[in-house]
Amino acid sequence: MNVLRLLAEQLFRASLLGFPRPLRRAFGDEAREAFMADLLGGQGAQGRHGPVWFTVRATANVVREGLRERIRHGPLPGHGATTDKTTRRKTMWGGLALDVRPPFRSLFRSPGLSLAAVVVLALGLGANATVSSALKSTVLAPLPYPDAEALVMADIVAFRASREERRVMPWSYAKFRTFVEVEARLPDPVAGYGGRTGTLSSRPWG
Amino acid sequence: MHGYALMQSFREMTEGSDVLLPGALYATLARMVETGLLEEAPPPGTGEDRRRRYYRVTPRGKRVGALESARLGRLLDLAHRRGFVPGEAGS
Repeated sequence: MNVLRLLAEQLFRASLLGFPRPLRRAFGDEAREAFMADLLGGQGAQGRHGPVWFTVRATANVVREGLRERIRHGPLPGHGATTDKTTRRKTMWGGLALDVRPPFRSLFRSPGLSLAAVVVLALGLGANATVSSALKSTVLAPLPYPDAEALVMADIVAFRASREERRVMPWSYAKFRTFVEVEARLPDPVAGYGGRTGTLSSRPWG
Repeated sequence: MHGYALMQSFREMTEGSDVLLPGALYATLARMVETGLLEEAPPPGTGEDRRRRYYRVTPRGKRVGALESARLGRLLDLAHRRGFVPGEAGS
């Protein structure tokens, strides 16, 4: 339970990065304390889905409100706010850059670990992309023919009524020719394929 | 009243049907202080938590609150008259 509590607190603390820096400095600690009090007191977490859902909601709410503050209003007066639109925009996104910079600095501080993380990510993403594309081309994508969904495969099924037995018979070229000639009334084209090497003669069969 | 007390008070007033989450609360408080509707106040007693910020409504905040309540009241009245409130007939 302590681990979950710690996780929830860390998650909430991380979400506070969405708040503009002045707002975070002014209210971050209080907001975190209020969140923890509600979480532990069980008042906010008493809902249908309990503390986990409360944590998700509270965290998402902080991110949303923080982004809204950054995008719609800019910084607070006395914390870098200005009436000049260009400067205000620069300060607003400059604040975001200030928040994003420290993680990047720590990445460059330990290049070995960062490289290992990048390699692992690259391998994972590559393997994922390979499997996904193989799955897509073999299973999900339609066959490269017009009206591919109307394509059917024909089998020869021998049915023995006395034993009520069905048996799929193998195709041969002779059977295929017979099928094509007999079923010439079919409006759709018929084609055959095989996995064996054979010799075709121009003479009539037989 | 400090932020967390506001959260609790809101929950009691709405009987738990609505929850005011910390993100929305503190962003709103900052904006209300900025626009002069609220101001920071000293802690009411010596035993209070000094790390918390306490707020009180400014005279301007009271005027805005009264005007906004009147506006919402008119809207609600209109909803009643139009029959949007369940159990009431429209006119």
